[in-house]
Amino acid sequence: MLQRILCVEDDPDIQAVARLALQALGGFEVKLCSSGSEALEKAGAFAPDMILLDVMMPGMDGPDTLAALRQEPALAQVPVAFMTARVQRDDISHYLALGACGVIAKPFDPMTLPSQVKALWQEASS
Amino acid sequence: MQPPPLPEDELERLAALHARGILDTPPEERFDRLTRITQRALGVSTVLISLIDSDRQWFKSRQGLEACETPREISFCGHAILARDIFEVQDTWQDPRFQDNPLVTGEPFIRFYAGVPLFSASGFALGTLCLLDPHPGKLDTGERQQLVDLAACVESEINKQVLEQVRERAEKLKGEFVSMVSHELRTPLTSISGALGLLDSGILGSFSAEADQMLDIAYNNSKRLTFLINDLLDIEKLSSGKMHFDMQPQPLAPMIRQSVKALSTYGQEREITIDIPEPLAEVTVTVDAQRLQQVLANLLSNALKFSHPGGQIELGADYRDGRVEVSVQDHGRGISAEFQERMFEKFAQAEDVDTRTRGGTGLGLAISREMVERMNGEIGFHSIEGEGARFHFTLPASPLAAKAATPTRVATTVDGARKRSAWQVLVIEDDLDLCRVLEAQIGKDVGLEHAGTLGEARTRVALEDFDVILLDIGLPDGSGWTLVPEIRTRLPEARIVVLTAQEVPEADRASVDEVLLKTRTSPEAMLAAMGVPQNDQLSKSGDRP
Repeated sequence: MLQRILCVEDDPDIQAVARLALQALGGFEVKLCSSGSEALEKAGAFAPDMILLDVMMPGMDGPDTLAALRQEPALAQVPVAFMTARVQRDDISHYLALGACGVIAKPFDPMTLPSQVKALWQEASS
Repeated sequence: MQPPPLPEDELERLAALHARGILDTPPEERFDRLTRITQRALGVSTVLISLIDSDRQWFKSRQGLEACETPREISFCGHAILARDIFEVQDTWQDPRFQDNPLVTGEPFIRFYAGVPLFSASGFALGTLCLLDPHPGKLDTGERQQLVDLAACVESEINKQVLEQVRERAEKLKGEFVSMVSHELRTPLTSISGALGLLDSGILGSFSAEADQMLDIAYNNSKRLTFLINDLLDIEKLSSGKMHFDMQPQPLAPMIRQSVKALSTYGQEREITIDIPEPLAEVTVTVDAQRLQQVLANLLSNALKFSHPGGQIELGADYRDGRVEVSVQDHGRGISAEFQERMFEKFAQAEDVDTRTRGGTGLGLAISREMVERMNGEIGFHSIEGEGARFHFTLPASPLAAKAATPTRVATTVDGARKRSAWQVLVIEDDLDLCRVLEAQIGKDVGLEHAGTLGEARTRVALEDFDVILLDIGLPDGSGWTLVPEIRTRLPEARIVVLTAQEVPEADRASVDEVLLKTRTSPEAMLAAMGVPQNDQLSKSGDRP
């Protein structure tokens, strides 16, 4: 079951929208992190079922964070999807090659975000 | 011998020359052509386009000379660039500045020299177009004019190259700018449209009617901004040649149906019917499916936008002689003669159209044309003002093999047996309670889809494949019987089961496969009437019932 979602995003406004959509609409438990390093610090204790990762963040960017998460034995298997405004076809295949299970395009539709995340999670877990 | 003095503007002159990026580049026909003409027209042994670098003269083009550069201090052209006009030495042996020059006393034994300075667009002398000959000579007035004219041609070629480079650099910067701005705009837009979308959904409570209206306006416009940014990025990728096309051979008809389906809600909102002729041309086209659907969506949404409410749009796909023509015909206001010429230009939108209500970015047709052409097709339109418009594009196509022409949506298990849950049933029924009952009774056995009106049912039958149609007769917008011929044409293999509370006349009974009385039918009887195999008797083939 998909229950806990870790959302890593440096923009507080997008954080708020994503949290509301995922919690109120999707009924998921959401943990927000503002940076890649914060995610690495908190992900272990939160034990997420799925991680949503912004690509462009100051410090560690999305791909760096993904690589670091993959080094943590407890988190290595957790599906990670990028959330990004760069969704040209080449960008997407690049993200998938890095090991992401999918890409959610920004701007995302908050009404369908929970089902989008769920579908990606199901695909990654099957 | 007198070495050439340096011009006063030497530093700027050198900067201008180096900015050309022309030094040490391979020979180019556009220059060689001009030096050949000069050589023939003026009857001299050697013609050069010489560029004066800090310590050498380098030849961009040369006729009748092997060397590609010589030192500047022994150059004639170093002198020539100091003049505004022709620098002519009629006999080097008689000229103290040159008589002991190694180019005079040795190869190529220059006796006659004439050079015209070549200026950059900003006015710096970069080099010369020059003539050399081992015999003394003198240019007459006609020859001087000819030489000056030819030098002007060389000069414009040199400067054209610069303009081209400047244009390319500007183009590249523009592309990067568009791409960067587009992505930067999307970040705040994500919050804006996300927040508005959540408010608009009502999960945070309701608002007054006026507040609701304002919210709708803001939400719709944030979505419009998103479309505009997407279109901007597309047009930039297309014009810079960076858009990748994943060309795959695939059947055309499903892509058309998919596009219509994607826009059916918008069509229903505007009460516009989209007519798809059956059969659509059963052909394979080699295209990028996503891009082709984008083109179809553009043409269809334009047709919907410009149709009158309650109107109709006809789609077509006709195959002839190795090409398929896909067309979208509307019966709206049409396109004025003066606007027709600008139809495919970027940001072209008819001025008299209220863009606020029509929406759109003005980039859709420009993008569509580029995409169709990149997929080896052609796009065009025909319109008479007041009578609607017909947009069409053609693509190379080949007829689909007969077997593959049947939609292959049928799911099979590993051994080829058909899963019961793969049965798709369309329930055409306006009574939602009855739909819920059906869902509870047979929803776990078959895939149930629902249409509440005749209009909705008509669209779904036109676009999707079903194995069974469960048909109610008394529908809000007409009798279910009227739909039977359409179902038979479009889905000849589907089983039609009428669900009714009334007695059905024998004649009507004959036109369908089964008639069931509402409320009196068990799930088993229902499944049997629909021709769905029972649990233990799975059909052994993937055939339709």
